[in-house]
Amino acid sequence: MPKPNADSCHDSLVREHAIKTIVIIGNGAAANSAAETIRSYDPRIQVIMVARENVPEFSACALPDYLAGWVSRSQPFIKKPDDYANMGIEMHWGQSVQRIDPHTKTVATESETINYDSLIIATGSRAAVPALNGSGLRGNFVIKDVADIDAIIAHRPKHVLIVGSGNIGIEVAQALQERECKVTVIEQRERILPRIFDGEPAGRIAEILTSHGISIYTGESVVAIEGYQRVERAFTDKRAILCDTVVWAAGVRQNTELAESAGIELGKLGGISVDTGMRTNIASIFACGDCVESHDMLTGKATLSLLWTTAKDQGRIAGANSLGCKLVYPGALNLVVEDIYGQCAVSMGVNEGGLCNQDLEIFEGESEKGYWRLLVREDRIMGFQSLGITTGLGAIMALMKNRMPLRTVAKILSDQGMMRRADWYLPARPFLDRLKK
Amino acid sequence: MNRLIIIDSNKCTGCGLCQMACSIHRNGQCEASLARILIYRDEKAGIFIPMTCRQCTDPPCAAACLMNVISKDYETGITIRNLEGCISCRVCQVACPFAASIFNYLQERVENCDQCGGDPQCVKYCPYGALKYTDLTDNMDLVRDAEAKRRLLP
Amino acid sequence: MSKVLLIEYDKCVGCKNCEMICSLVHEGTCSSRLSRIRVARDERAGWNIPVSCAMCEEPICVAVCPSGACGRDPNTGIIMIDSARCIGCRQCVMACPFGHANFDPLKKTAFKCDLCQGDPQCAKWCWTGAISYGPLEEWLAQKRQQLALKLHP
Repeated sequence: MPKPNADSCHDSLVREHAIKTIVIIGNGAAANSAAETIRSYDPRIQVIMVARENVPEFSACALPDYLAGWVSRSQPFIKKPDDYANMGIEMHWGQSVQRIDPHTKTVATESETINYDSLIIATGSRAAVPALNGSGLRGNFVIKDVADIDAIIAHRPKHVLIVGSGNIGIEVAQALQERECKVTVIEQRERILPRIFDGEPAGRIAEILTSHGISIYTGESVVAIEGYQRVERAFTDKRAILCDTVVWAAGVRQNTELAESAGIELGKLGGISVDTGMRTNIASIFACGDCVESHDMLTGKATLSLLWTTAKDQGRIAGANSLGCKLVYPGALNLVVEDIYGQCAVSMGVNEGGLCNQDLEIFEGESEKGYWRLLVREDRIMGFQSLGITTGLGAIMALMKNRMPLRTVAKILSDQGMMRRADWYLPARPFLDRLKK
Repeated sequence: MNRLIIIDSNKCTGCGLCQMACSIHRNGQCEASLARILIYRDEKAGIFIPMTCRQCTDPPCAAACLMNVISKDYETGITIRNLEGCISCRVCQVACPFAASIFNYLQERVENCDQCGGDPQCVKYCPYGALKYTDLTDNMDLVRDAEAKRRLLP
Repeated sequence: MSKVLLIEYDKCVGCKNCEMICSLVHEGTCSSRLSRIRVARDERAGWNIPVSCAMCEEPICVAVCPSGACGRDPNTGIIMIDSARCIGCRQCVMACPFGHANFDPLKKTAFKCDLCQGDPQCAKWCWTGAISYGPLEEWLAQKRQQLALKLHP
């Protein structure tokens, strides 16, 4: 949420740069966040959004809730179709951009050519479905928008195979279990949620899921899907699984083709390469959201953060900078909160796999509420994972964000006067007590 | 308007009246876990620190919210939530450094302090003056004066 | 950091010139509320005390900032608030024991003294000599000299 009159982006600055029209490609979290930011800074500038889909902005995070039937179909939608016009945003529905021409500063869709002064690319990502035998059969689904969920519900699944156990896979598994399906999860790596949790918490989560009747097979990958016209069974490298539905939740691919064809550089990981101001290598073209390769706030390494909060944050930076501001993106900080059958599983920062470093200290603990695990490197918190705990995590998150050395924290917490001033540290104390020893 | 609930934890005795006032005013029942103000207690050290929403300008809870239901009211400076859209994913709870997003189990929603629309009940019922509802700038003048007096004393 | 802002209370007359120049150079307007340096005064008791950032070695404002906006500039050593990252939670304002860190009522972000990036205007414009800017050691040597002169006139 941008601040009004933020001094780093003054009105006169905008006029100086003579930016009159900003075109945003996409209609996801990053695109909408950028549009809202531009609007809040300058009410007069022309903002044009070009979206492939015909629906207003929705939250992908609420899709599993809709699939489970916990919320209504309208709930995932954040905006209404006429909200765009009310905000003064020109929306071009159902058009896909064919070409970007950075020399003439135009984008071309099927039917028209639009001039821009600044361009923001927020094309997002698509679910990755490998080209296997049978992955085109009826009964193969991805989770990307509301229509996908509608299709799954209309398919009336009974036996579901979920490929991939990232946060989408796990949430969808629970949602379909709620719909009284027999759910099986296949994960290629040796544990579930491999990019988010370490071995111990992931094992505990897997235990909860299996105790509720979800079958989980790790260390296997799907090799083929069989069936006459529709999915009937799937084969992994170890077994055959009877199923009528396959949900692909095994990662995403960045939609970078359009940017690539315009001569925009890509990073090593396959996303659009941007600097800390969300600028691409071509002047006055910005990129944000899932399609971008940004850096991690804690390690500084390049990362493809595919989270909602990251996209919103990047959109805000790209939106402001497209007006001529000089905001700096501090980097992506992962924050994943999962509901595992009423228990809150939280992961923030980097996990062990993301650090792969020798001098990593790990602190684990268990209270009556749940389990927690703290990763420390060079006296600073690098990651935190917990299961069943909801209090005190915000303080850990903030300590991670402001890179506070833990000896300073310990010093403040041992002094009453300082403790009163830094009162928000206190809820984090149960997790940090062990460090002093 | 810069009026805020300003907390002087030195005066707090941990009686919990603020929590009761908040809970009964907002939910109609007395329960500390439903209050939008919480008291951090360390009985051994004798420390009681009330904590509530700081009404940040650019709130981390809004930045993290998966449904974009948290926004700022720029006239009053209050962080407001459109609870219709909330799916109680609890991300805001984890993102708030001040432990000020409170999960209301009755409605299954996460809430924060809204200063009771300009008449905070917790402040009204605080018997020790640990909670004040004043302009921040005025409060700063008092702090500065206290500091000046401290420096003057030999 | 070698140079510090030196404030001598007994020389201050409470003219608030420093407040005016500070808000003028930082915010483009003369307003006490937008000034980094503030003069606490009690006319009846007859004291005027300019309060500015002490540039603590272990600043509590940095420790309480949950967003990492408040921090020490690695090049200059000055403790600064990055207004783009500031979330406006007012923690630094409440935590500062001197009542120094301040809050902009319009922008709704915190601000604090940045020593004008090494050329503090308050020291330049203070006509009574209450505020000066220089190396602490030099100032202490001067003080010692003055005391010596008092003892042996």
